This record gives sequence, C-alpha cells and structure tokens, in this order.
Amino acid sequence: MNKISDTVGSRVPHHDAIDKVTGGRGFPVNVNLAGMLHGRLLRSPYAHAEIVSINIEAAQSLPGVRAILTPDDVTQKTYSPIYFMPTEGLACIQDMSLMGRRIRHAGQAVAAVAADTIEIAEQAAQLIDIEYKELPAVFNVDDALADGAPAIHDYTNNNVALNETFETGDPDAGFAEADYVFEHTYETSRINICSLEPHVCVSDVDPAGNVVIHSSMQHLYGLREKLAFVLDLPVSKVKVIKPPYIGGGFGGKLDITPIEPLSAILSKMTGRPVRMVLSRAEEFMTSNKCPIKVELKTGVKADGTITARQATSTLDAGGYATHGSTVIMVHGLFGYCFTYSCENRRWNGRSIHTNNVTSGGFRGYGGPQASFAVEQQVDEMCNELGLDPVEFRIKNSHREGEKHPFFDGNFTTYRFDECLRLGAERIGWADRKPAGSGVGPIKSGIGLGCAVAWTSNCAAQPDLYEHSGAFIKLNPDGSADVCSAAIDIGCGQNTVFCQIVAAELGIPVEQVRMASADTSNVPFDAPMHASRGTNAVGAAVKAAAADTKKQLFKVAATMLDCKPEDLESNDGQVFVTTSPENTVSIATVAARADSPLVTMTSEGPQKDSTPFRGTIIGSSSLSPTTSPIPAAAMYIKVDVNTDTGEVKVVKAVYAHDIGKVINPAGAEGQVEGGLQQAIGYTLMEHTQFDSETGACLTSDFLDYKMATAVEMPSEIDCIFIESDDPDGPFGAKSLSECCLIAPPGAIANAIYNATGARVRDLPITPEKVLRALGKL
Amino acid sequence: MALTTLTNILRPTTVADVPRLLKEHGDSAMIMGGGTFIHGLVARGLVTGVEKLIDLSALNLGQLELSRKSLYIGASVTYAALERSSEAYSNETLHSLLDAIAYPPQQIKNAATVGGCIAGSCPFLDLPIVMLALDASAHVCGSTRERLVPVEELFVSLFQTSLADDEFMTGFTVPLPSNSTASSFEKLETTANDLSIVSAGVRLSSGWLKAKPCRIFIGGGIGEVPFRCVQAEEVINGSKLEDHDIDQAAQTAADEIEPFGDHRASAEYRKKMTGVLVARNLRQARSRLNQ
Amino acid sequence: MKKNISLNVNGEARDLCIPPNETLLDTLRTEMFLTGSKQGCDTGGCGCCTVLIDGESRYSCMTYTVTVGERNVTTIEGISEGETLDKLQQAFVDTGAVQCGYCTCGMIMSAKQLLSTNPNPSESEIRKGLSGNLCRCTGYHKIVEAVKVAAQSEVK
Repeated sequence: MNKISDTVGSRVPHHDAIDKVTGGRGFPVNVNLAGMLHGRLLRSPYAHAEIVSINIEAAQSLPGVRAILTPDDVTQKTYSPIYFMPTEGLACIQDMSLMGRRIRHAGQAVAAVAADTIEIAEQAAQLIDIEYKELPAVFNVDDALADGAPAIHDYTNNNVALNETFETGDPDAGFAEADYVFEHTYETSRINICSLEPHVCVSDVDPAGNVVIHSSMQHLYGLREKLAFVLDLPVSKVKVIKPPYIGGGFGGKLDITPIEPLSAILSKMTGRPVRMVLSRAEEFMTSNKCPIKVELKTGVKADGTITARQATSTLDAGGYATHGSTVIMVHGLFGYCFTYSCENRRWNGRSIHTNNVTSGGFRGYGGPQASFAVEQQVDEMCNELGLDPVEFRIKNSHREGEKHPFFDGNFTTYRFDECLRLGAERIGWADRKPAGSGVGPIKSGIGLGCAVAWTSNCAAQPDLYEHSGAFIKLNPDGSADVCSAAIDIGCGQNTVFCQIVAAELGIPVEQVRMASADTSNVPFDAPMHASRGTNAVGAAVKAAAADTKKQLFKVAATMLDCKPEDLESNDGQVFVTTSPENTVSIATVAARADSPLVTMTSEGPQKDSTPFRGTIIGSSSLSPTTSPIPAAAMYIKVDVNTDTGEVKVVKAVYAHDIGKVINPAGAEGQVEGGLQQAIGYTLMEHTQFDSETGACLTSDFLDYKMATAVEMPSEIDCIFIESDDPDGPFGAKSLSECCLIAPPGAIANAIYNATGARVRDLPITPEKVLRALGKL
Repeated sequence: MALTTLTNILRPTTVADVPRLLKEHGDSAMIMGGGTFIHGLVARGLVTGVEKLIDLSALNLGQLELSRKSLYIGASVTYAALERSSEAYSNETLHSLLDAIAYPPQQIKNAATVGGCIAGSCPFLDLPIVMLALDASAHVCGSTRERLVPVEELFVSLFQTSLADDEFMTGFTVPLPSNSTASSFEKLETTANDLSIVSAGVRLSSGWLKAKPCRIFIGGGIGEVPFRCVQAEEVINGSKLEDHDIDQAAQTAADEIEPFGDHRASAEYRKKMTGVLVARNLRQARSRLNQ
Repeated sequence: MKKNISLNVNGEARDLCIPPNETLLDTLRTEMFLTGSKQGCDTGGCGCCTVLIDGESRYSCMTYTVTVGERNVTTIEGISEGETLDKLQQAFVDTGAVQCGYCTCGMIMSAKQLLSTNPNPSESEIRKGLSGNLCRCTGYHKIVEAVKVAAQSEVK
C-alpha cells in the first residue's frame, strides 16, 4: 500500500473549487460588516510637489461624510512597507510615510474620507481643496541621475537609493582569458500584477478595543506588524483575520498600502467598520513590476565555456524605495551570480528614485528581468559562435552535489540538464530551421529560455522572515483541521497543504480542512511568496501532522494492545504493520481520546477508558536550513507575421526539476498561468505614464492589454522531473516563479529564430519587430 | 464609478418623443443605445453634467430588412442580432459587415447597437468604417423633418456628429448596387478584445472598366474621424485590379494618410499598417468579387 | 430620482427602489447580496461581472438596472439545482480550471451562453467565446478544457 500516491501526486480538486464555482464567498472583497462605512482616497495629480494648504470645509459639510484625514492628522514616521522583513530590518530603506505633505509620485495619497456610501466618499474627496507647490520632476533614470536633478529624498546622493556591488574570483583575468567578449544592453518594462481582485480591506474595532482587519494580502503577520507600527500599537492590539483565499496576489500584495492604516484610523474615529477598495485605475498605479536596464558582458572561450561575467543593473524604483531595493538584490544574486556556473563575477546594481509610481513585487522578483537578458545573450553568443544553445547551457550548468555559489549547502538535487534534453526532444529542437525560412509572411521559430537556479524558500537570506508553524487537531469523525497563517493566493496552496497532511496522517484528503484563523491563534508564517508555499509551509504542516500522528499512535496502541512504533496509518485506519488485520479507524481513536468515558453501542452506553485523554493534536514551528534549487527550461514556438510584426505563441514545452509533484493539476496550472503572464510581459503589457506629468496612460483594460484566451497557445506541454529532494516535504521543491522567469527569453529567442529580428527591450511589440527587420 | 449627475433614464415610446426630449433637455441629455459607449465615456470622465439618458429600446427600432436594392438596419439592432440573422443577408457586397461584427467579445455584441456605434463618431470603432465603405445612409429624425444623410457626412470630429441638437438616427440603409460589388473589413488589434490600432474597410465593384468608384476607408488611431484614401481609390478606379494595382494602391494609401502616435502605436507604424491592411482588404474583396 | 422597479433574478421577482445610475452589478451585490458576480474593473473590460439577461451574456457593470425591465437576469447563484452543480460548474471543478476563482463565475456565465447557442464548439470558438473574460491565474488552458468537457457531457 503506497499511501503517498493516494493523495500526494494526485489531481485532487481544489478544496475551494465548489465554493468558487457557485459564487466564491470567501474573497476579502465580499466582507460586509454591519454599519460599515466606505472610504476613498484623494490622490495627488502632481508627481513632485509640496502641499501648501488643505481646506476640508466643503467636503466635511457634505451629508453622509463621517470622517476625513489629511497628512496633518496622521503620524509622519517613516517605514519600509514590505511585509517579508521586519520594519526596522537592516536591509530596509524606511523612506515611506502614511500620508505626507511632500509628494513624490503622481497618485500619492493626500487625504482619506469615510462616508455612508462610496459615491459620497468619492464626491467628498473631490471637494477637498488642496493647494500644491509643484516641484521639478524626473520620470526616467537618466534624468534622475543627471547633474542638477531634483533630489527626491534627502537621504540619497543623486537619487541613488541603493548601490551594491558583488565580486567573486577575478573577472578581469576571466575576460582576458576569453576568446570572445560579448556586450549587450537589455531593458525590461513596468507591467501590472492585474490581480482581478483589487486591494481591499475592512477595518473594525473589537469589544476589547483591538484593531481587527480583513485584507486581500499575502502575509497575515506582515500586515499585523506593519499596521501596529504605523498605528503606534503593540502587535497584540492588532488582529488580522486570515481570508479563506484571495483573488490573486502574484507578489503585488506583499506590502502595506495607505488603505490599511487609514481604514483602521477612520474606523477608530467613527466607531464603525470602514471598507476601502482600490478601483482598477488605482490598481494600475499600484503593484507594478520593477523596470530594470541591464548591461551584460560575458566572456567565453571558443568552445562555449564562460570565463567571466559582468552585469550592471539599474532599476527605476519610483518615488519610494519599497521593493526596488530588494528586487535589485534578488535580481543580481539570482540573475547573475547563481546562474550558469562561473567563478569570475562582478555585479553592480542600483535602485534609483524617480517621480514615477513605486515599483513593487511581482512573480520572480527581479528574476525575469535578469533571465530576459541572460537567456537572450546565450542565444546571441551561440549564434555568433555556431554553438548549440542547449549544449552551451549544459556545459556551463551547475552539477548535482556541487556547492551553492553563495549560500551554505549544495545543489542536493539538480536536473537542469534533463530539463534541457527532455524539453528539446519534445519540441523538436533538432528540426529548427534558419531564420526567414518558408514562403509567405508568416515565419516560425523555436526559442529556449531558462530559470537556471531558483529558490524554494528564503532560508539563509539575512533579514527575511522564513519560518512557519502549524497546529492540527483530529476530530471525532476522523477529520483533521489544520491551522496555519499561510494564505491561499490562488495557486491551490490550501489543497496542497491538505494533501500533505492527509498523506502524512494516513487519512483521506477530503477529510482534511484548512481552519479559519487569525493572528491570535496560529503560529507565525512568512508570506506566501518566493515560491515557498509547498516547500516551506508544506514542511511545517507535514511536521505538525507527524507530531499529531505520534499522539494518534499513542492512543491507538492502547486500543490495539501494541506499542506505538508497531503502527502505521492509511486511508483512515491505524493498523499494526506486521498484522494489518489488527486495525482501528482513526475516527474511533480520535473519538475515544476526545471522550473516553463512554462509548455508545447498540446495547447502550458502555464504560470505556484509555490512559490518554484529550483531543489528539500536533504542532510545529520551524524554519528550513537549506533551500532546494529547482530549475526549468522552456521551449517556445512562435509564428511571426513579418508584414505586421505580430507574434503568436503557438506551442510551449516546459520542463522543470520539481522534486515532487504534489498536485499535477495545480502544478500544470502554474505553468499555464505563468505563460499568460510571460506572453503579456514579453509581447504586449506595459503600464505607461505621461512623460511630462507622470499621469497613468493605461488605466483600464481597454488600454492595458493582457492576453485573452485567444492569444494563448493550444499546446502547453509540462514535463515534471521528480528528483525527490531530501529537503522538501515528500521531496518537493518549488515551481511558480520559474514559470515567469523562463519564458521571456524563450519568446525573444524564438522571434529571432523565426525572423532574424533581435529585440532587447520589452515589450516586444509588433512595431519593434518590424524595426528590427528594417521594415520601419 | 457611477454617473453621479444622472437623475433619470427616459424611455420614450414614440419616435416623435425623442427630438422633443432632446430639445427640452439640451446638453443635459444623451441618447443611449446599448450603453457600452456611454459607460466607456463615463469611466474615462468624458461625460460630465449629463442628467438624463434617453433609452431607445421601447421604440421598436430593431428591424433588419433585406430587399433587392438595400439592407435596412434599425438603429437598435445589436451586433448579436446582426450575427444571428447573417445568413439572411450575407452576400459579397455586405461581407464587410460580417467581418466587423465578428470581432467584439460576446458581452459587447449582445449590448452594442448599430446606432450607438455610429452616433459615437469614434474612428476606433469598426462599424463606422464598414458603413462608410458600403456608402450607407442614416435615417435622421428631428422635430420638424426627417432626412437621409450619407454616413460620410456624419462624422465631424471625435465624438461629434453633424446632427442637429434635436436630431437622432432611427436606422441605416445600406445600398446593394445593381452591378457586382464585394467588400471587406479587417483591423489590427493587440488582443481579441481591443480597439483598433488601424482598421480598413473597402468596397470594390466589378464594373471597374466602367466608372464605378471603389471606396477605401481607414479607422483606428488615424485622426479625429475616419480617413478616406481618395488617392488610393484613384489608383484602383479604372485599373484592372491586378496585383500591382493593389500594391500601388496600398502604398498610395500609406503615403496619403497622416495618423497620430500614442501609447498604443506610433504614427509610423500606423502609416505602414494602413498599406498592409489596404492591400489585404483589396485582395480579399477581389477574391469575393470573383466568386 | 429613485425608481421603483421589479427585477427578475434567477426566477424570482424582487421589488426594489434604486437610483437610475445604479449598475446591475451593484444592485446584485449590495441590494440582493448575490456576491457571485464580481467587480474587477467596473469598465466592461474583465468580465468578472458577467451575468445572463434573457440568456445573453452581459457585463452587469455596464448595465443600468432600471433598463433591464422585465427581462430575466441569471447569475451564477441561479444555475445549479439545489446541491447539483450545473455541468459547467462541475467541469470547472473536475479539470482544475479554478485557481484564485475571481474570474470563474463570469467565465462560467459566458461559457453558458456559448454552449446554449453552439453546443459543440471547436477550440477556437471556445477561446473566441471567452475573449471577453480575463484570467490572470490559469492561462485559460484548463478553462477551455472544462468547456469542452461540459459540451461533451451535454452531448451524452
């Protein structure tokens, strides 16, 4: 009996699926409390300004207005809003305040109104009279760095928020040793997370005077910590309710925004719950991927061995440091230092302030921005040198068992070469034709892009939260409730955790449930980010299940007249390993433990006892010491219309060293969804702003183009390589971010293979393709 | 966000009511077809001060009538209704109509009306280009008179038609010329749910040895109103419609148009794509002619 | 300014008194507490608000409630029969077409119109039929599969 395969590795339907197909009650957007008021923000029309005066009289006298806040009413203390590190962590740049008189980007919050209806709140906000003194503004990195550029923050030199350099080995010697040195510049753009559920929160005050908040977010404890800090409260006075799930996060709900603290303050002022939700236009000003320009220099020998690599990355952080300063680090480390094996590396990364909107977190967190450069340059080098891109990568790849270039620990499992070879075979890599082949304007091509070495959690990364805990209890019907602070952001984390617990405990997966929770009754968990759900939280719930099982077997042993170590469990039954007919149901054991005195039988109540009384529970609180390393290769086939420049992705093959697939449908879903985001990122999405005023030009889905079902390929083929990592629950590593890291380079390379057009800046729009073809 | 100034949605039951209401309420009233265009304008803050919307749905303007000489389309006919009835009127002359109505997503097709689409005077929409290519006329009703206005005379500037303040459109007549004609429409869009970057609608006639002019119109981000490629038409008129004629007409169209650039596409790209789309549509119309 | 109307939703008539500028989406969510139809953009761009009016899919965020009249509105809450899910709902569950779920109800309503007028659609007809509904999580892949499964189960 292989209990693991009944649950782990099977296509268990999402536990929330029936709820979601019949309406979806659990979204934070549906939270509706009695007496709830509605809040709206007023936002600055200017990108760089000082508030001179504020007059709220007209707004205040509008019937239905209950409270108004301006910068003069709130704390001016500064913080970093990012959830995954402590507010006063070393790596944090604490340059943001809740609402200040100094404006640093268009759309910055300058006032908040709570009213009976959202329309009244909006009307009142528009009646607030603010006089601004405009300051000169800069909307691109070059202008921000130029002599005489306006200083956006006092603490920076020349608007440089962060400037970091890494160097290992001897890059200069490495370049001297090279037969060829390649230098290219690549640029990526701003795209929006476009989670269909917007940022929303409802704040209230409970009978004990605690702030209670519901929010569409990716980190329960992060919100608590940041909110307590901004409100000047001890964390014990702030309670965050865990939502059953949220309508998408993608890394864009990993920080506190103005609405959470402002709704809490408005709620305290009015004595009523206050709801605040962002409109889609406001969403486009929030949570955009960091645009990064990369100058990449690589030295290679004629046989393709990389001898040195140097990269200079410049990131446009916008008005406040926020994620810019952390994305640049992940980008540099994972993009250039952990990538293809090379000892001689030099990287310089800068995060620069401009008066653009702040840059946020988004799947891959700097990884896609690097892979777009690295993976294209590999292709460019191979084309020049007549080398095969697959063999080049394998030659320069890390090897299983090798020491990690930066962190303690090894590549415990690493099957990147298998990903490359299996994917190549599946797509028909050997049948690629030279650029421009075939008759007619449509040209086809195949391209390869990879996620070379990613992470499965944030172990060994200083300053970041990386620990998880869970509680489990067994119920008298044999079901298990799992209490965890981990939030299901749409990937199906709830279901994966239930599968892991079910497999560990030996009960059917339908009998495991994620319990409701809040910050007062579950252990800490790091955010749902960094692809850590399955590996890190999965390990925590597995450990809690193992702990629960110990207690279960202790009680069961008294009922089966054996020792706990003689026992096993599967399919809801506990049995003696050597004589499985000696068995009792888990339900019976749990019921006995919960209520040991009396059992109801057909003859009436019978006295019964076990030395162990009390609900069977288990717990865990742990942090991983290593981070297993997944890898992926994506092969993409495109058709390019050389009359119009339009690119259509027609087929994708994605090969990923996953360790262990917990839920195949869920894993495939990550690949398929990641490809939609990658097609958008590479070909059509672009959050654009006016270059003179900073106003958003793409503030609805009419102007911001996201791929529909029509733009997606029919064939998306997933190859999951189960390398069975010892540092993952049931061998599982991670997946999700690689699904956005691998494709962009593959698409760009496919366009080149089809047409000979090389485009090094995103998005690769049809007109850029035509320009690269010399047709425009 | 709601249209906060809206106080009433009026639903007149006779055609004569409409000009009266328009006169009575002036600038504070707007006619609403399916509502898709109005909602779009409201969402972008382009509609301020509108207190009354005039809903035409009780006026029975949903007729679709094909006769030997023309197709009559009532102003309230939706894209979806046009699609459902397409077999009844589909022929080579009117094929561009089918081409255009295939584009929008279903939710838009179900709501958007032909009248609303034309009244918006927006070159980014598709039906106006088709109606121009097909030389359609609008049935216009005012307080004191009714008249027939060629669609070509309707579009004054972006969102502005030539109708008087008390006039509205009750339907459209699309002529079916006695000689053989064929039309085609195609647009370039970034995704399947998008306004056009550039669009083109053409109507060709088999009587090209006789003096029967072709019609070539461009929409998308090319100006305040759709653009007629007069010079390109001259290349086709009197030609034998061979490949080199089509290529020359396409190049002429690209040369004579001066589109604008915006965050969707540059002027240069739109210029070049005008040529591409004109060529494609001429070829498509030609092959339909030959069927 | 407010109007007294009778609105037919999921087979039941409700008397309401609402302002003319209220959208059907807001009426459904705030007056009738039918929260299955959702606001993703409020501008007819994402499809999360899709309902059926007399069987035709519509963006409820772009429909003024007072213009609905006597027509029948069907929301996601009205398509299952007691505990038995509609074939589309069941197919979405079985194929893994639900991730965050925010687009799901709108997708199902669009697919419902598609299958009612085209019971055996090709894959490209399915994709085109769903072009008015955006999804950020699934890449539409299993959603398309779910519609195929539902179509085939109808044929049986």
